[in-house]
Amino acid sequence: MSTADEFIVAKDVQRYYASGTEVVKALDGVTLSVRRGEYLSLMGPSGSGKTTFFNMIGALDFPTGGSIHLGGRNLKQLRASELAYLRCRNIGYIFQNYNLVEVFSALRNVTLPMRFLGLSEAEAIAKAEKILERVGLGHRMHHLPGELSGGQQQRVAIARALANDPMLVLADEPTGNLDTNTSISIVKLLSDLSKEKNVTIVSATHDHRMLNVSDRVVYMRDGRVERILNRDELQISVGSIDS
Amino acid sequence: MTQEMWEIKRLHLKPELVWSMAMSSLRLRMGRTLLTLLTVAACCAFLLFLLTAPISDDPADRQMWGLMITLSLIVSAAGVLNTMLMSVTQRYREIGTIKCLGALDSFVLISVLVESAMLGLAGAILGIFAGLLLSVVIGSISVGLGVFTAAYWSGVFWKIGAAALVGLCLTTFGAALPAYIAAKMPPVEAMRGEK
Repeated sequence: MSTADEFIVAKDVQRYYASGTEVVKALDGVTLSVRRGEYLSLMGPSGSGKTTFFNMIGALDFPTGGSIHLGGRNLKQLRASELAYLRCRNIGYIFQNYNLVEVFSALRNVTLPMRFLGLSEAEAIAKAEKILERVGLGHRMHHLPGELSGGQQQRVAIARALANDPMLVLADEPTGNLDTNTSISIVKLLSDLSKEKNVTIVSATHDHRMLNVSDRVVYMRDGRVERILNRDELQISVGSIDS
Repeated sequence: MTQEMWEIKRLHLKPELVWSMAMSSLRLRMGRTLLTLLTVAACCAFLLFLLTAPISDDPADRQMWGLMITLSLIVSAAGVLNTMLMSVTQRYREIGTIKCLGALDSFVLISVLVESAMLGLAGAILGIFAGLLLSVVIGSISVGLGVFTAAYWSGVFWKIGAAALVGLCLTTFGAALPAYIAAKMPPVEAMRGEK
């Protein structure tokens, strides 16, 4: 089914919701492939379907029609235990609202996926400390999420997403709640980490600053792919549109 | 290269992780914990007091007493169930999040059940002491020193057991259904569920 080039293959993906008597077409036939190691950004206005598509790739929700293959397997055909393993081991998630476990310290948030995978507490803590230091939070790892700033919480979320060395990191509006300077540092961190660890990153975003680090940008509108731009085309269009 | 990602291994359900999740949650949501604890304790105390209080042999009195016990049980059960339901449904987002991190459905369910059982147990113990105290105070008003005789306390152990069991079952069952629903939900729905 998939070649090495096609790490994620979405074919005619549809996601319909019933809203009263109406059917809302959140995704209306999205076809897209993502290469291994690629940094892909999904751009589009609110309601364009990028978060819905993000959820589909991450096996957090399932298509009404069409299929999504990840690493050659159809996500819809996986058993609950396989999905749990996939989410734990192979996918790291970063959300706009950070979604940290409020009752756990930064350190324990990062160790949680490792503990699910079977690492001992000591192993998990040693590894989590390294990752938290890498994201610049070595000094605040014992703080609860509520005691950290937005940028710091997002760093914890990034560290947690990378805990089990996933092949894929999904970031849904990772800079959506952050100020400009913090956003720039978060975008740089994500981009550096993707190069260091050769992970595939798919990021849904409004933020034009994320375009410069992307290999490709997929523009979505009304649940469909409007256009796809490669990095070289991108520099020109960003310059012409935004200047 | 992608082959390795499908070498599915069994994820671990570590009891110490379940325990620490439950305990951290109880500790850090102290306000809610105390509120639930008091609701359960009040329910157990009231039930135990009704079970141990002296009643006359008049069938009409006994009937009235039985009705009071039933009604009080229903009222306190509704209170405890509602508190547990709220406490779990408000955490749908957290449940969705830990499912994204690889939590098995069983982990979600068991950690919520352990947490609720701990609350139920603590509430029941507190309630039993309060109920017994209430019985002694009220009983001594109606039967004086008779309250300190063995006859007054006949069958008290099963009554304590019954009150404790009611407290424990109410919290655990109250949490079980919403926790089961949350555990089975696709993570994205659970994360949305809080709204």
